[in-house]
Amino acid sequence: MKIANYWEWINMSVFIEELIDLELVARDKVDAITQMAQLVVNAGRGTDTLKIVEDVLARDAMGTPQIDGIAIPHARTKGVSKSSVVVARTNGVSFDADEDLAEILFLILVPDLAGDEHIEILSGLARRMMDPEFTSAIRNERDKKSMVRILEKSGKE
Amino acid sequence: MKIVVVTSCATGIAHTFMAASALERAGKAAGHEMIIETQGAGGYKPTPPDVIASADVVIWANDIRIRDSHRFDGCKIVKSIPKKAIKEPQTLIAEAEALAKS
Repeated sequence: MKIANYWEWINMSVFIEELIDLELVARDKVDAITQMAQLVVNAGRGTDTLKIVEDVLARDAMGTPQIDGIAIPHARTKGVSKSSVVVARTNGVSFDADEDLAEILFLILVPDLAGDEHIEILSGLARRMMDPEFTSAIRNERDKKSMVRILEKSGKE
Repeated sequence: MKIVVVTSCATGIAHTFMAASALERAGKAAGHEMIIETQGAGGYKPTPPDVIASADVVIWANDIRIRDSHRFDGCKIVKSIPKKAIKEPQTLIAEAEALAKS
């Protein structure tokens, strides 16, 4: 695909620095999801923080996947116009009483439309979550630019 | 051993693929041939009937109904959920090995 300019590239991209927060302080999971949803709205990729939070919490009630201290709340929601992945390093958030606190959160949001071009990127990311090398790189990364590079690689496998 | 895995979940973007990847890794580590079918938000590629017929055992890890499930009629199937596949893939592989030998 030919990309004409920077703005088009930003539109196409799922992983962007604006959607990474490496110092998120949250009281609980609702607070964490709300702050992360706000980043999506601030980046112009969604319109309705409350709707995003509602849909994510409804999905979360069925169980949020978690592995190695990384939780992956996600939802299909009318609150976003573009598929978005928010990555946050937190002070420790509990998603499941049976699990350790999650240090890293991946909030995956997909617009409420059939046939999204980003599904493949997102499913590639979900697969890589089971790769210990990938999760350890994510856990240890302290720089937003490098984090984007790690994430972009994940979509290709 | 040849194991066919089918995974599926409500949203079809996270659990489906994490469960598939976990079982694929655990199965390969145990020396098995793994055939993976993810029924996710982007659709799915049905595993051909001859491949299913040649499998020693099948693992289903699903929260929602498996599509085209009649393809697996007559197979030995370990039925589980994605959450368990993500947390304890080795357990499901061991169950599949036991079922295949039974």
